Amino acid sequence: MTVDLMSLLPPAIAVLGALGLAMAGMLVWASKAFYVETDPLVDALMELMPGANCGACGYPGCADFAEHVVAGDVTPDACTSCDTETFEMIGELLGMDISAAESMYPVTICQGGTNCKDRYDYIGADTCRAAILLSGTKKACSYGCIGLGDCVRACMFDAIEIADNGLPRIKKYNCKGCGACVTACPQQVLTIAKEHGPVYVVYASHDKGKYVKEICEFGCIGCGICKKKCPEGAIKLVKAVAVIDQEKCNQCGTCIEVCPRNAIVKL
Amino acid sequence: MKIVTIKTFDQVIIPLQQHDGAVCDSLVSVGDIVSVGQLIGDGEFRIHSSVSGEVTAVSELPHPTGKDVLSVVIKTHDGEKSEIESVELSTGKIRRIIREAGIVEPNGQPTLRTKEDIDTIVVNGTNTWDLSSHEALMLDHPSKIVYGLKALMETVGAKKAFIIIELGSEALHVMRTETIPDSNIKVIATPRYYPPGTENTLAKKFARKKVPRGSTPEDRGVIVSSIAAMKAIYDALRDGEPMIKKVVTVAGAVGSPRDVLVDIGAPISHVIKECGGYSGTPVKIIVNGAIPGAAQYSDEVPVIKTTTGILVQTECDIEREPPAPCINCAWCVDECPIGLMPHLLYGYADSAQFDKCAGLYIGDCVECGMCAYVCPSKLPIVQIIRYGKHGVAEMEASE
Repeated sequence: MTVDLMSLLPPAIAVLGALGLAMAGMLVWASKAFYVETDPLVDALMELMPGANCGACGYPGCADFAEHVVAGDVTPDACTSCDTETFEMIGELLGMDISAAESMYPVTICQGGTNCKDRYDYIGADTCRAAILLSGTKKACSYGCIGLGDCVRACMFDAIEIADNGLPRIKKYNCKGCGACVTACPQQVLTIAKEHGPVYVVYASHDKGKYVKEICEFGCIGCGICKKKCPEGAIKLVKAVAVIDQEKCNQCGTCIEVCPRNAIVKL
Repeated sequence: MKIVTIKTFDQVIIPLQQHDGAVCDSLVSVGDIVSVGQLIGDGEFRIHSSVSGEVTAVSELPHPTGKDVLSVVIKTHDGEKSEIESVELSTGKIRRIIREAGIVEPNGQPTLRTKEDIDTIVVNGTNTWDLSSHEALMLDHPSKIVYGLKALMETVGAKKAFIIIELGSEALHVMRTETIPDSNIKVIATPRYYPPGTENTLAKKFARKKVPRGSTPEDRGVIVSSIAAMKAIYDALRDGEPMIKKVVTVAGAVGSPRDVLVDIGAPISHVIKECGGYSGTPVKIIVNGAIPGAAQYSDEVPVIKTTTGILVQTECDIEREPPAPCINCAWCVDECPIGLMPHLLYGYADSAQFDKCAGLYIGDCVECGMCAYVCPSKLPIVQIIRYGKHGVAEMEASE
């Protein structure tokens, strides 16, 4: 018995076509019936957000942050990763003045790296945290950067690398300022700072001044000259290391000039 | 005599942490004059001065474990040997004397931990970690070791004792001869293998007492001790001498490798100099044996109570290969004497998943180093497991 295949074609098309139409109808109905009302402002804000979902603002992602911004729970400058232009646009959209907001970047407050002598040849696991457990640090300075790259592994955006000088270098175009590297660093040699903000950093080693002089070109030796010369009285010595009170500091730069060790810099 | 006594160095560094546990409190200050056997540190354990002299510093100094530990530096005076009183013996007193003499087992634990009824004593006389200080002690002082063992047995009321010695060791014959009159002390020969055993495995193998996870052999009525502790008990009981000297094996690239009797606190550089100095350029100095030991970054670290040996390696002894990724070959699992899974522990600890490490009993690891030794990828497994243990401890502390 032979079957004429061509004769089967019209009914097949009819059946599948009808099925398709019925399903399409159901989808149309479902999209109307289960439609979720969204605030157009939130959608517009989401368009402007960087979409990094880094979590630095404290919310799970950019969408959640946008919702809370529109609801008024938080100001948009909590975002660390928007640049100045984006902040302007967000300000226009929401009708508020956030021109003071700036993007944040991590800053290395150690200038050791290859400038700092090694105490011993380290052969072992490539993590700073495990290396510290072994015997303090492999560097002569126990407060400096070890350079085994815990910060590099913590970064979700490939924005940090260990440069040739043995110190972390931040690739600004990738960085979202989320601060994951700052949390990961066991030596606390990274700190988060505003992009254009004048920050004075002290290369702090709590070792004795004489020892610091031997091992490091930059480290603060706690001589206290900056404390005496500061017109605002913003500097005090904590554990033989100068600490700058950022609120009192008026960025005059006197301390940078007087420091005999170049331990204070403007970033 | 196999053991050579090394003359006192003109300056000793006595760390106030020579055991597992917290750093002891210093009882002396700079300028104090101390004499041999004087108590200088008290806490979980007692620490005594090994020389007579003047305290020149009490500060944080390098320690064989790698950390800087509060240490007492004593500049030795000539002559002036203090009198050490010998004591009368009674069983009640022995327990106190053992504590007061500050005796520490090579693994950093005390010899007597509990006051439970003890039935058996296992004395580990194998050449722990490839070093021969135990054998040398047994050859030189067999009667003192048996005396110490008997005193310990009497104190805790143990009925029998085993001395474990490797097959083919000269000490086997000597110790068998020495223990003929004592029917309750047995000398057992065991094949040479590494690692010779942990407290729990030795208790299971020789005393036939299985020690469940989380408990010590003492809970099952077994004390696992070592030859060095037996000798220290003898010294404490008969001569009233606290643990201020230690037999240490010096091996590797030195002029004349041998077993030496060293004052606690003598710097390693001095010990090596007395053994003929370095032959060739030293590249690695490893304390406590090649596989489990820790490489030192300075030869100024002192000999402490847990030190059993010093190994000096030159460039040709060392093979350096960069680590490759784990291939899950499970050689480490085959070799682990405890029955852990080091490759999983490595992975979890490396990625900071400490809850999973705890679930795989990371705390049971004895850091014998076999996993890292056999690893074809040359991964620093022990170091990462140590990091994992630290992470688990931190996690538990924060809960």
